[in-house]
Amino acid sequence: MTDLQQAKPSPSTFNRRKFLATAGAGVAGSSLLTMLDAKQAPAQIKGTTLRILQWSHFIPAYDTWFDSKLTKEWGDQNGVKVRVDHIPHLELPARMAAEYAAGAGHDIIMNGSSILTRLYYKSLADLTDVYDAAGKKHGGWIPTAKALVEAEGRYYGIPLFYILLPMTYRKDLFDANGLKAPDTWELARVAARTLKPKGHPTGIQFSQCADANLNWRSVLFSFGGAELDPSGENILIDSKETREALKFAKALYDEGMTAEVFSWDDASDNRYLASGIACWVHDAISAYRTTEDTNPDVFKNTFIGMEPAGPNGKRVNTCAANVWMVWKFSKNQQAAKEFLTHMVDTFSEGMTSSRGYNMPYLNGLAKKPMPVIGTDPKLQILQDFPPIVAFYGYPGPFITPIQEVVNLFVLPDMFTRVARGQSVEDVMKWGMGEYRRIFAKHKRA
Amino acid sequence: MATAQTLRQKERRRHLWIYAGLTPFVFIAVFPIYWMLITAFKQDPDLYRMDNIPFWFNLAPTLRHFKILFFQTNYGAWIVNTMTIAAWVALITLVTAVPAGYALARLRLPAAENIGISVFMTYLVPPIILFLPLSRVVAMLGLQDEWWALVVVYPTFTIPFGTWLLMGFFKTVPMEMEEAARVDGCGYLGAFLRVVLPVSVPGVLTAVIFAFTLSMQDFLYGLAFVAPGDQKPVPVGVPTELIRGDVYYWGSLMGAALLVGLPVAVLYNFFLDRFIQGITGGVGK
Repeated sequence: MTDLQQAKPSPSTFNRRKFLATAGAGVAGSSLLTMLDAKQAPAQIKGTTLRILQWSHFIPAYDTWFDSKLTKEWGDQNGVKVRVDHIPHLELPARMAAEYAAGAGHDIIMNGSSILTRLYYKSLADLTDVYDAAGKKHGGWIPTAKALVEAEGRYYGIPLFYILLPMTYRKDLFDANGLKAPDTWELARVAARTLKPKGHPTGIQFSQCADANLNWRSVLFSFGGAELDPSGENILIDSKETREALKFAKALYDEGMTAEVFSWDDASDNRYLASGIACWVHDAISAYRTTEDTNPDVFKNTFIGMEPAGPNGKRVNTCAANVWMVWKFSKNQQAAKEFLTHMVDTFSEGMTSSRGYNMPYLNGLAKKPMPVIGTDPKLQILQDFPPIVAFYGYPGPFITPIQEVVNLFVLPDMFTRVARGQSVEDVMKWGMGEYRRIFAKHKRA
Repeated sequence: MATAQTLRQKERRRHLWIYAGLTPFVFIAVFPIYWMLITAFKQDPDLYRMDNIPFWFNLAPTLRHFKILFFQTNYGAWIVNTMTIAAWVALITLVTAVPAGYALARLRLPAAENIGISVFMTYLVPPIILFLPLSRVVAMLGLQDEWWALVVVYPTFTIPFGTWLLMGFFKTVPMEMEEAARVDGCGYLGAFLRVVLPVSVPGVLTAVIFAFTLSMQDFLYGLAFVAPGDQKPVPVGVPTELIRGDVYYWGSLMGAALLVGLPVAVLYNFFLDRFIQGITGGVGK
C-alpha cells in the first residue's frame, strides 16, 4: 500500500489520545446511527454550509435534479445551505490535488474514472459508519464495491453508482445478414467480419482514452484473464488468457475495423453508432442515447445485448466507477455524512433522472424492475448486469498502482501494439515490464 | 501604351502568383473558423450523418445551440468573468512589467541581463508544477473559488513574459532621446514618461495584448482554483457544461469558441502593425 503520507508507527499501548479518539468515534458513530434512524439531522448541522464537487453528468437533467431538487430539499429540511460545483470528470484528480495541497476546498468530492480513495485515504474522513449503515439498509453492497473505498479495514468513500458499457448493436443489419445477436465475443467478431465489407465495420478504441481502458478489460476478463489477485499483491496479467485476448483483438481489428480506431476518443464510438456506420459498439448507453437524440432511423434498429461471453462462457463487464468522499479537513463532516446517506436513500429517484445511466452498487436497489431500464424493453437486459460487474484490478482491488496503470493506459497500449502488428510475446514482455515497474515504484515509496 | 499594358499584365501576374501562394495558408487559417461557424448553426442530425456533405447545411440551420449556450449554461457570466480577469491581469502586468522592463534595459543595473533571463525562465516553469504550491497561496488569501484568485495567479506568467518583451523593446529606443530629455530638465521618471513611453507604445500594446490573451487561454489554474459555475472563465466553463462524459455538445461548443475567438481575432487585426512592430522591436539588439 502506498500513500501520499507515510504511516507513522502507532503506539501499542492504549494511551489517552487513543482513548479520546475511540470514544469520539463511538459517540460520532452512535449519533449518526441515531440520526439515520430518526431520519432527521442533528441540530448542530443547522445553519452550516455544505460544498460538493462533482462531474457534469452525461444527462443534464440529472444535474438539474441534483442541484435544484435533491440538495435544495435536503438543505431546506435540515437547515443546511448546499452548494454544488461541477467540473469535467477527467479533471477531478487535478482539482483534488489542489484541494489536498491547500488543505481547503469542498466538503464532499466525487471521483469518477480515477478512484483515488487509496491514494488520499489518510486525508479523507472515515465513512465506515455510513457505508455499513447503507449496506445494512439496502441489502448489502455488490462484492466489487468494497475494493473501491476500503483501506486498512475502514471505508473512506461511498460508491453511489457505476456506469455500464454494454454491447449495442444494429439488429436490422444482423437480421438482414443472417447473423446471430452478439452474445459472445466470437459472434461479435463474425458479425464485424461479415458487415465490414458491406460498409458497417465495428470499432473499439485502440487509443489512450477511458473507454479503451474499460472495453479491453471487459474483453480480457471475459476471456478468463485477470489483472491482480484478491490480495492486490500479485500481478496476474502474464497468462495464457491474456495472450488469447490479445490475439482476438488483433483478429477483430484486422477483420472488422478500420484504422480510424487508433485515433478514437471516448465520444468516437457514440458518433460511429449514431452515424449509422457501426454494426456494433461496446460503450456506455450514451451511445444509445446519442443515437436516440440524433438519428431516429438508426435508433429504432439499435438494440442492447448482454455482455458477450468469452471462449469459456465467462462474462465480465468492466464499468466506470463513481465514488463520493469527504475530506478530513472539512469542517462539516457530519452534514456531509448525513447528505451521503440521503443520496443513497434517494438513489432510485436519481436513476430516473439519469435516464438509466446510474447503476446501483447496493443489492436492494438493483431489484427488478429498476427505474427506467426496467420498463424500457430494449434496456431491460441491463438489469442482469450487476452480477458480472468488475472494476480496474479485477479480481483484485482497485489499488493505487493499478490506478497508475490505468492512467498510463498500459493495458490499452498492449492491445494497440498487437493490433499494429507487434508480436504477442513482445507485447506481453513490454506490458509486464510496465506493470512491474509501476508496482515496484509504489512498493519503494 | 503597349508598355503600360505589359506592365499592368506583369503586375497582375505577379499578384496572381502571390495570392496563389498565399491561398493554402489562408485556407488552413480560415477553415477551422468556417468549420466552427457552420457547426454552430447545424442541427445535430446534420452533424452525425455520414452520408451528408459535411461542408454545408443539409438540414435547415438552427439557433438551438446558442439557446443552450445562453439559456442553459452560465456562458454570459463566463464571458464577463473572462474579460474582467483579463483586463485586471493586463493592468497589473502593465503596471509591473513596464517599470521592470525599463529598469532592466536602461538603468545599467549590475547583472541586469542575467536578471532578465532569470525573469524569463520563470515563465517557462509549467503550470502543472506550479498549481499545487499556488493553491496554498490562494487558500491562504481566502480567494479559493472566486475569480479573483485568477487575477492573483495569472500575473505569475504574464509579468515575466511582459518584462522580457519590454526589455527588448526599451533597448531599441535611442539613448540619445532620453539624454536629450534629461538635458532639458527631466528626471528619470519624466524622461521615461514623456519620451521613452510614448515611442514604446507598440511594445506596451503587445505586452497588454499578450497578457490579455494568455489570461484567456488558461485552463489548469482556472480548473484548480475556481469551481462554482458562475465564477468560471470561458475555458473552464465551456468544457464543464458542454462536455458531459463522452457526450459532446458540438454545436454549442463551436458557438462558444466562435463567440470568444472572433472578437479577439478582430482585435489583433486592428493592432496588427503595432503588434508586429512590438514583437520584432528587440530584434537585432
